[in-house]
Amino acid sequence: MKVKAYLAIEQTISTMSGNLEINERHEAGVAIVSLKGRLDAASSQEAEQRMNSLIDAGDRSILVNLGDLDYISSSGLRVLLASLKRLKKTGGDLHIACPKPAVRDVFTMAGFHRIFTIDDDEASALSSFTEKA
Amino acid sequence: MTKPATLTVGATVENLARIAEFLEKTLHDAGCPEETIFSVQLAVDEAGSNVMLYGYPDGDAGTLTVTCEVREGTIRLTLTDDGRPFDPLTIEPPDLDADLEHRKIGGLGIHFMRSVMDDVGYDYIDGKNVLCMIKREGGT
Repeated sequence: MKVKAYLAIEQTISTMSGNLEINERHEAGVAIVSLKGRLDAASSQEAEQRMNSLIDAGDRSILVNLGDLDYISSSGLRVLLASLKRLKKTGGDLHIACPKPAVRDVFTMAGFHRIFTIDDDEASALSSFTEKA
Repeated sequence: MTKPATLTVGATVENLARIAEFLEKTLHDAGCPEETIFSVQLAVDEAGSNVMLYGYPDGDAGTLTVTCEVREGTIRLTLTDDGRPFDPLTIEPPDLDADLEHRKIGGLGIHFMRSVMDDVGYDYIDGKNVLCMIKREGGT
C-alpha cells in the first residue's frame, strides 16, 4: 500500500512503502532524503525509484538522513551505492547522516564507511557539501 | 527456552518484516541482548531475501519456514524452503576494499551472515533447502 501526502508548507514529499517512510525536502541546494523504518528487500525498490527521480530531476547533492532508520540490509546498501555511483559520474555526491549504531555497523561490515561520507548530525552533513563546493 | 519457535510464511519479500518481528519477540523473550537480536535479524533477513528474490524464478513462490531455538546461550536457526536448490555458501566473498567504481553489491548478504553468526551450514534434504545458522553467547 502506498500513501502519498504533499505538504506545501514544508515543501516535503512523503511516501510510505511497506515498512519504510521516505520524506524529501530541499535545503541550501541539497536534497535531503529522510528514511524511517526498514530499508530491506521489500522497500528498496521504492527507495531506488525515489533516488533515481531526484537524480533525473537534476539534483546532484543528496543527503540521506538515516536518523529514524531502524534496519538496513544489503538490498538497502545496494540502493545507496547505485545512487552514489550515478551522482559521482556527473560530478555529484551523496552523504549519509545520523545512522543509528546498529545501522552504522552494517555500513562498516560492508566496508561502506570507506566509500561514503558519514556524519553524526544533519548540519555537519549539510556543511560538508558546501565545504566541498 | 526449551521448545523451538517456528514461523512459516509465504516466500515473498513483504514477509521479511514479519520474520523480523518473530525473531525480535522470540529472542527478547529468551533474554538475548539487542545487539544479538539485530545480528540474527540481519543474517536471517539476508538468507530469506535470497530465497524470496531468487528461489522461485518461475513465479508461484512457495513457503519459507524459520525455526529459532535458544538453549544454554546458543541460538540455533534453521531456514527451510522449497525453492530451487541454492547453496549460498558457494557465493564468492565480496572485495570489501574495492573503490567505488569497482565496488559490487553481490555477495554482501552471505558476507553479513558469516560475519554475525558463528556457524553457517547448508544442506538439500528431501527437495528442500535447509540453512542452519548458529550464534553462541560470547561468540562473533
